[in-house]
Amino acid sequence: MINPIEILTPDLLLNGTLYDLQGNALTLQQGSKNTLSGGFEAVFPSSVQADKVLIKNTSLEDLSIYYKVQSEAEYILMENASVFLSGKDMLITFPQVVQAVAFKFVFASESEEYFYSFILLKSLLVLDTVLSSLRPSVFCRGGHHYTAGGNLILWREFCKHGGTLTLENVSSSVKNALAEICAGNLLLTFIFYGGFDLSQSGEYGLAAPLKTELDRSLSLWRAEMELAEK
Amino acid sequence: MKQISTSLSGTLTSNTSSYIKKLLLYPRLWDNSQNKYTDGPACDITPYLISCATVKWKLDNEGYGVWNTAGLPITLTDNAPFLSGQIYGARAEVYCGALCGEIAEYVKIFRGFILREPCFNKEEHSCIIYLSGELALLSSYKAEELSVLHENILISSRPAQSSSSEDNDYLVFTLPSRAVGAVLNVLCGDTSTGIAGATELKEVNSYEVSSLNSYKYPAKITLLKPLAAGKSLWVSYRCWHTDKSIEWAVEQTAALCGYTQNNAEIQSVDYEGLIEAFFKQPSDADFTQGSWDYAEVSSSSVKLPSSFLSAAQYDWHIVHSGNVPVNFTPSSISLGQGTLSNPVSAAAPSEQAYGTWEIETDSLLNEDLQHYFYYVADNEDFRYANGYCFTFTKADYYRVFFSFYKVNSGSLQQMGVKWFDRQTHTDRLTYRISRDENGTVRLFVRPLTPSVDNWIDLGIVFTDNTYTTCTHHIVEFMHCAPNSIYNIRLSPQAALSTGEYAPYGSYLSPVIDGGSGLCAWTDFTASQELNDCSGAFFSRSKNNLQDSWGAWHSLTIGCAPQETGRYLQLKWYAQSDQLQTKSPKLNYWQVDWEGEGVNIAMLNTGGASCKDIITELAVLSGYQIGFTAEGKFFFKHRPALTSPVLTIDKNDILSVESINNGADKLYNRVCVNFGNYSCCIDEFTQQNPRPNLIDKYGVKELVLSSGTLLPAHNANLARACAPAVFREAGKLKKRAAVLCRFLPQIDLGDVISVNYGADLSGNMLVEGLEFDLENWVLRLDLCSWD
Repeated sequence: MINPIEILTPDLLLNGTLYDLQGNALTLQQGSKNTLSGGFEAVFPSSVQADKVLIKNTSLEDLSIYYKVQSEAEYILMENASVFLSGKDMLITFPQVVQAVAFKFVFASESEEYFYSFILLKSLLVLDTVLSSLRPSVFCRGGHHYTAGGNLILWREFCKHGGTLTLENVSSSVKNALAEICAGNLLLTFIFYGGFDLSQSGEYGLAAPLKTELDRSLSLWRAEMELAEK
Repeated sequence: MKQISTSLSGTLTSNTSSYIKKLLLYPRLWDNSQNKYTDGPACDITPYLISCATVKWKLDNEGYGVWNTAGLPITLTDNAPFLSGQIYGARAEVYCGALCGEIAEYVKIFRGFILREPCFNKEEHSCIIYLSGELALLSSYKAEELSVLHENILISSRPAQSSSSEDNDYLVFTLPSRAVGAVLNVLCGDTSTGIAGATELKEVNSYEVSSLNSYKYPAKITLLKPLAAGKSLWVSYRCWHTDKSIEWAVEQTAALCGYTQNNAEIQSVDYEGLIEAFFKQPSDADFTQGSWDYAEVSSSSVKLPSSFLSAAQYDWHIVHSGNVPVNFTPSSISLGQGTLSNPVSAAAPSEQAYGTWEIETDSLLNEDLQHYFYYVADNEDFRYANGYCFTFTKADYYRVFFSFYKVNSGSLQQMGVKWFDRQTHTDRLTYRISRDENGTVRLFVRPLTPSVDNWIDLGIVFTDNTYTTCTHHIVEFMHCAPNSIYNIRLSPQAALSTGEYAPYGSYLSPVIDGGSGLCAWTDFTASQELNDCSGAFFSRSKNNLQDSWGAWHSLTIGCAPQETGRYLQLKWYAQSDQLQTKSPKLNYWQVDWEGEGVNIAMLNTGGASCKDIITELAVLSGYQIGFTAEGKFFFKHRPALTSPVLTIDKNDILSVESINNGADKLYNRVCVNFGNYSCCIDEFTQQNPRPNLIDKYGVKELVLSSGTLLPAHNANLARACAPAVFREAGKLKKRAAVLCRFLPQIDLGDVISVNYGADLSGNMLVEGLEFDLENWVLRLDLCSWD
């Protein structure tokens, strides 16, 4: 199992309503800087299944996660979750899939913390037996002018990651599962394990339908996905 | 220039910038308690923004006094949640800025309103929204609200017992206010039940309205059928404001649209030139609006009254009774048949010690008849009175003696005797005694029988001013009866002759207000028909209404009044001819003045939007109107020479699109037509050295007019306004369009210093701004400012 790729749901927090720990409504600007102290709570209209939390570009070092199975029930502390830190990014994996109607994230420190994205996920598919290659690209809206005096003015408005993910040696069952996932979700979360730089992991949109190709000699599939950062 | 932080300023002028933009939408929420829309919470619509067109702001540089509404189309994704709701009227704000490290800093560069429905492009999954600048919003407010509402005013009540002969008195009703703009409703109902039971009358079917929108006269309502007995009439109407300053009108109009002190910058209007204004009677106020003594006043002229004497209204009582009955009427007293054993006297209270007494009498019917008339007495009993008396006797067949006495505690001291002879006897006569304020007594007599003869002027009899007050007039009959005096007529004016016209009279104009900015009263003109009589003019003034008046000063036609106070009053003193048979006539008079600042006589806002009014007031004053990016309304003077707020040079300028000498936007002749006035100013009237700008570039004329807002006779604003406009528009100003790096801190109307070689350098005014938020460049319309 070398350098697997995990495909997960898009951010589940979008389906819920967020409150800070004082009970005030809260909106997170995913992709922009959010500052918060204490933590926050997400309440869902119906129960959701989740098993991972991805926090990117954050000052957080530790947090406790609680969940509620029923709305009337008490919060249960999540125990034995594994945490992976990479630079300023953090990936938390629950010991098992949790089905809950509410989650509470309590920051370990009492000071104000920031994060650029905080997403709750459920794993859909782990591509561990396929060969994969990722040809990354970056889309930047930007430009440059030369002033009349020859002065260069270089500007950027935003940058987004993207790329072509090519999978080889894909079995029919995996291809079918992949096709099903791609048909049901235009947005997906990808975690690229391996050298484990979490910076490329995150929510991506499928800019083109899944392309598949059957290698008849091996009876295995090749698949290609055009990814564009959300 | 907008205030920005040092860090943002540093980022914006560095070589590398991370530009960001943000759009906030404030949907309107209906507030039931206030019955109006209020701003809802801000909603960040940036995540739905696909593209944003160029944000354009411009001053009125296309044509003087022409105001463009800024507009900004933006393209959003069609799944934005607010698009499905009601977004008409919602406010949107565009911010742009840069990332300073991790911190985003913004400058607000546009504020607009959604006044058109969004346009969806289903193929592209997008939606275009057009944001209109705030000036467009002013068009949606009716300026008519800027008026005074009078509701359910009781105009007339006809008594229940009123007869049909009085019908004509209940047809035409004058409203109690001038400058009435509209009659909203007319209610008629029983006086006893009041307005609650009244029904509304329909215009055309039941009544007509006249004299609307008149500065001078109140409106009139004419019923088609007279108001029935026992009914009352109530009227609701709207009056325009009168005599208001330009800045007051702007303030109130802006307040109607919700721009009050906190979000409005309204500068007062001061012209460098002086305003010329005048007051003319009867066109500005008819003559009945003044006050007068002994004058016959119609709306269009003033004369002396043609009959200055009026019948006496004596309340007689007998003081000494006799054996012969005495009969009274208010203007006569007569003795019945018989011979008196004692003198009979009657007295009537009167305070008239000066003036004219005119009496007809038959006391000459035979030589035994006689009466004494005490025309001034301080006691009802002549035996104790002090004053003056008069009597006359027939000395022989043709001659009549007239004797005047001073009465000192009842004893008579002769003061003068006059007589006349004529070719026939005289039985009855009219005598007219006059006593002027100096105590000079004159006598005029006119024989009545056997034939009516001409008046005989017996001239001045004596002068004495010992007794100046009077409590009674007394008649004492002597000797025989019948004896009567009748047709007693009196006047407080002392006659100088025998005619019926008042000997003199005076008329005072209404108080004329020169305004707080009065500089000087400059001219007086008048037209009077002298008609062998005389008329003289006087003026007086005071600084405050509550002060007492200064002294009267003589005033000559064609000369300026010597007064300096803000409030002026004119007087006409008229005297009849020598015989009192003619009157002079005053046809009009006019006084002119100069002032700084001006009031609008009547603010007729009927049918206009707030934008129309504010635009017109901007033209009137030569001011600029608009909104800052913060949404603050401004009405201010075109910028005076200021030091530049920023310097841009070849390191900021990407390219210069165009440069021209500005001749296409030059106006070397400015003609201003306001109301009845027009004023043209050009290079020749200003005596600029030749070859002047007309010689060089031909005539380029700018015509400004403002007919609807101002009444036709309003102050001569044109004379003050034209030089101000000419000063702005009559200069050749170099113009340039420059593309430069993104500098959102620059505001419209800023003066910036441009340093770009010999062709384009110096201080320039920013007349137009175009922020390109896709390519992050700024286009400036500049105009030289030195």
